Amino acid sequence: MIDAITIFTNGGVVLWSYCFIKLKGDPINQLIKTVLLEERTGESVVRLDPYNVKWKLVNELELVFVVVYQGIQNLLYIDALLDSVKTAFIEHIGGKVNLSCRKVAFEAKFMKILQDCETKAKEIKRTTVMRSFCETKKGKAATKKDSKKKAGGGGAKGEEEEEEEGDDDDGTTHNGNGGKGDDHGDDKQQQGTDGMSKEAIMAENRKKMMARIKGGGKKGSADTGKQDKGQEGGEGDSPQEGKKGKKKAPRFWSEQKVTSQNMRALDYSLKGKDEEGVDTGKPVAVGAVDRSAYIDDDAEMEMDEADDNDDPLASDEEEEEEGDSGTKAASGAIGGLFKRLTDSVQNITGNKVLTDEDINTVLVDFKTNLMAKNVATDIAEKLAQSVKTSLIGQRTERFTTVRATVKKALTEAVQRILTPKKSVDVLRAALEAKAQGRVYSIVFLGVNGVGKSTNLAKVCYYLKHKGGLKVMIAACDTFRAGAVEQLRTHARCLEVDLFERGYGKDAAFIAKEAIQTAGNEGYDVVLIDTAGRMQDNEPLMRALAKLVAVNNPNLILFVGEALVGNDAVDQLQKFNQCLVDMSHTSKVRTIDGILLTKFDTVDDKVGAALSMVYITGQPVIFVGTGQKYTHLRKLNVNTVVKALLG
Amino acid sequence: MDVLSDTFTTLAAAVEAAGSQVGVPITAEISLAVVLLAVLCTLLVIVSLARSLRKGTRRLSRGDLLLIAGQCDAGKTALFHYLRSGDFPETVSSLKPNTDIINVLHKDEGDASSSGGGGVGGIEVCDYPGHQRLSHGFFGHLKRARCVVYVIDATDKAALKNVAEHLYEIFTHPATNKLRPPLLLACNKSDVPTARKPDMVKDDIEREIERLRQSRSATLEGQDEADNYLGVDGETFKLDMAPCRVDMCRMSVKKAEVQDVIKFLADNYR
Ligand SMILES: Nc1nc2c(ncn2[C@@H]2O[C@H](COP(=O)(O)OP(=O)(O)OP(=O)(O)O)[C@@H](O)[C@H]2O)c(=O)[nH]1
Ligand SMILES: [Mg+2]
Repeated sequence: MIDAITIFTNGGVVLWSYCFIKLKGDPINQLIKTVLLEERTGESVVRLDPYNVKWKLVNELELVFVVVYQGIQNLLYIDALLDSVKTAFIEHIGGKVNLSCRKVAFEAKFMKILQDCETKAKEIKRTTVMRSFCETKKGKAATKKDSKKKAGGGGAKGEEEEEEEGDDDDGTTHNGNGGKGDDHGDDKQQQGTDGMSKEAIMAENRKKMMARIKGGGKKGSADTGKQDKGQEGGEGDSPQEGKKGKKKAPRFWSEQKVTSQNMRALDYSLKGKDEEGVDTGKPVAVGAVDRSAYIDDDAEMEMDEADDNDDPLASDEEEEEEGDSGTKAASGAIGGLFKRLTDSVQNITGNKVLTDEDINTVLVDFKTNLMAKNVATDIAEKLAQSVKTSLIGQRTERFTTVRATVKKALTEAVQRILTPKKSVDVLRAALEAKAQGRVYSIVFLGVNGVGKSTNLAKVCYYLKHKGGLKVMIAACDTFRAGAVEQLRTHARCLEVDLFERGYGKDAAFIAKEAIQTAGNEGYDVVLIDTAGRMQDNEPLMRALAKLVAVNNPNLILFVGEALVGNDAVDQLQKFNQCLVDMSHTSKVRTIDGILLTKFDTVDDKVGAALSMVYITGQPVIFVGTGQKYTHLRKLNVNTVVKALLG
Repeated sequence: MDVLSDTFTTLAAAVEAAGSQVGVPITAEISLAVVLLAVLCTLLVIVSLARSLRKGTRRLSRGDLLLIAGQCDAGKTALFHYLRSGDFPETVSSLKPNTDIINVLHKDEGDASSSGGGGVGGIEVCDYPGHQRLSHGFFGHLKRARCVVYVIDATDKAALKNVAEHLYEIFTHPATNKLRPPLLLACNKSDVPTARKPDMVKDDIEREIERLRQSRSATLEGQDEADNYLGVDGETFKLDMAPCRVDMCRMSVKKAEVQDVIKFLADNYR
């Protein structure tokens, strides 16, 4: 069961939306602000707690389709749903969108599509269940039966049984006999006690909507009536099933051996990539099919459709596919030459609709170029993917080549990524803290030898001399020999005070003591130096997470070398992950900003800046450009963009 | 430099050759003088051309665009559509600017105040999204602006910090200093009881900008201090020290209370 669906224009006007249940927070705006505008559109689903949000861009019409849903097991049909809704909606509005477009009545059509998709999803699921059931070893099956018996009760009925019931309902629905379905629905509502209120609301909403549609009286009344009845019966049941499946699953698994795979499948906090890793494996448990399993089961689905041609949606889709392949074949054989000719002409005159192929050919070059400029391979790939998604279907402007169009899009994308989305003015934040009588603390972290201490000294110089702040340096690198002495030298040169407790002590508590002392003695800023550590060194990483958790600093600054290439991804991901994993407080802190060192040594190979910002979503706050205290700057976005794509 | 001297010698050689063809004995010195003269002449022409060109750009005045600016969720798109068609559609955060030619002044009191006949129809209006990631394209639009309506969500105190920072950037931008487009700070959502009054918003913004002045005047090495400076040295910042005229008004697009904005437009598109 989905929670909501929204269709809006790139300009920001909602053309149609429907909520089955009131949404918590604002996942749509969150999606726009954290995903669509951040060049992360290469993927197509994102987790925005407590929701999963899946979207589809239609660039030629500047439309965005978004589905919001919870859980993943029973939502095999989301993809198909989005596609069908897209096609139907575009047809509904006559294939044109402009500024005057406003909300349209699309409920009736949508309900039909939703119903079809759900029915089909059930069929697919049944086949999936059957297959995995056969695959499971006998012993496993036995334990499962046992566990089911033990669990007992309505809620823990075997999943496949419930599946069958669902199908029965469908049968009755098709026959137009809603009464039976209703009974089933009631039964189940009584059984499912805790999920009740939500389901009730959903069912209620649906009824209301159906009533409205009926009131509109667009369709033949007999037809609508029949559909309506079927809906009430079938629908009272189907969200129920979705809910129960979700509810029951963990209980079911808890009696199985917990494997790491199981755990990962259960961990919804892991984003798309990790899940992909999982779904290449066998289904974890019966019915535990995550969303991309839908794609895996494509072949089967088509077989089903072939058998079952009276399913309206199925035949629709088949037709569509045929149509597609038909045009392709035609363009390949007859129109090949002509197409190539118009292509090359349009390449000069512009006004050409961009296809996947067009973009790919030129994008490859740009990607290689980006990597040559030291952008991490992963990042270049993702960025290219995202740019492609945003371009497919668009028309090129007049007298611009495909290449120029792609370049422009890519440039804008890079510019957007590098432009900080929040203030990078550390001095202002520190002054503000001072005005409020608080000590402002900054933790510097990073791998070995990137220049943490040197750049800490530069930041110290900046805050002291430019901001007139009273700064204290806390030597929390209690690990590497000579680290404290190095800081002492800096502190002496800068004429600021050093807080140190020698080596071998717990860095977290030294930092804490330093911040307390600073508060008592009227310091404005504490700069905390930490030991450099490789991202794979577990114990040290844990110590770092502890330092952050204990002190909750105002700013967590990751110090990274501009020379770093592919390793940037790994470093930042692991540092961030360690902060997330090992923080035991409710408020999880991650890296707030980046200090890019040795920027003077990389020439135009400034790719590290892009990689780091892309992974963390956080801005480059300073760049270090030399050995002197004054060699600290703010990142000039335009220079970097020019260096990368100029 | 190498290229220059190279062309120089080849040119000199050419002159020499020409001279010998005509039969006049031309020494190296004379040919050098001729070439120098020619180069000087061209240089003069280029310089004067460049001057006149620059004069042209200096005379360049403000464009005709009405720029609707502001932070995310302030109500820019809402205002845009209100001005365009008088309605209040449901919106989400914009992914791209909305641009259109709009007949604003025909609707309300515009007809009376403007020049009688046809009035001033057809204003090009641009609603530029507030998301920071899109901010790099903002100043391109500002350069074309006749005036700016800066929409503020008066119910969102936390956002005022970002407003101040954005305004600081606008005020210190060369385009603002050259073109001085009038700016209206429209405090939107005044229909909500918790909305702050324009006076309060003004105080908040001035205080935030003052704080920014302190941190920004401390520039990092390699950044031009001059173009970061705002206000009068030694005085706390007030909005009337901004390089362009700044007005405040309250507004509620939802309740169709946008009279002050319309008046502002009428004043600017006379
Ligand atoms: N109460 C109230 N809400 C308003 C008013 N004007 C706009 N809103 C609401 O504020 C929200 C944001 O409005 P938009 O116009 O989309 O915001 P925007 O400034 O275009 O935001 P971005 O496109 O993200 O830059 C919407 O939910 C509007 O309904 C108003 O006058 N009163
Ligand atoms: Mg908008």
